Amino acid sequence: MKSKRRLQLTTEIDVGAFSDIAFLLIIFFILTTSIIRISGQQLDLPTGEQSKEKQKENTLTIYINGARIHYGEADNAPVVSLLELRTRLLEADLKNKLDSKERMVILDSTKDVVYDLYFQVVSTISNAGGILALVEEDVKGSGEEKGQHDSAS
Amino acid sequence: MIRRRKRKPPVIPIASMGDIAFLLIIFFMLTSNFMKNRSIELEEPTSADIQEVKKTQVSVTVDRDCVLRLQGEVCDLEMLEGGVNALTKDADDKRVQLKIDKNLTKEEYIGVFLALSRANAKIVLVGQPEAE
Repeated sequence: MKSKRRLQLTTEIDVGAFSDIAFLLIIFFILTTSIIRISGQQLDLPTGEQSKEKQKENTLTIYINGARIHYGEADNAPVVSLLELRTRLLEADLKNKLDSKERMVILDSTKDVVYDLYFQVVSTISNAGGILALVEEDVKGSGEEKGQHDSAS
Repeated sequence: MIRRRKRKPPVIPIASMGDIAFLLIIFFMLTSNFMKNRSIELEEPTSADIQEVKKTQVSVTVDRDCVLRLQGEVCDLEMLEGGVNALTKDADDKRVQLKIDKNLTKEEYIGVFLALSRANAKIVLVGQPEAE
């Protein structure tokens, strides 16, 4: 009499494909990972506040009116292109000036100046070694404009 | 009678390949940084005077809808100075990355500059290099 052997059903999970899946995932991550590179310009801003009148004494001022860049503090100052601005700032040799007051550049602009142009001017000034002083309008309407000094240089 | 030796084919044990693969996956998952700012819609300005800078710990963004975000979270302009102060207070690196949509006007972004300057942060303006 044949002894009947119970067929034991094995409960094995076939793990042969796991390594294939793992390698596919690795390839996926390698192909989709992108190395983020940030490009920018660190601003050099002085500390403290001063009135604009005091600041303007012998200080280079750049005024942006809409899409026009004026090399000077008012609308009647000469209009320059970005390239001309870069050239003039390099000629001013701001990087080699020892006194930080001589490196200061006041940037004033109208309210409708788009950030793209503002960014380009700010980058040009910072790249030329200038210390940027931003002009803040007095919100309370006293009529006095304050030159804002910002973070430590 | 000639007996032929059965040639056993060379066997390369590949049992550990699965382990190596999973270790590599775990390595990539731990070292990759998810791009948190992907959902923020803004166009970066361009300039020829910028260069590659190191990533900062603190980031401030103003998107095309003029929504201000500090570290990816929406924030008020009044809270920005305090928030940046808190983040940079004990940090060695006081640089703050500032990304603003290129189409915003001065009255929309100048407040951010002033708030960051009052927080004594070193502002790093982020943009794209101009295509040559």
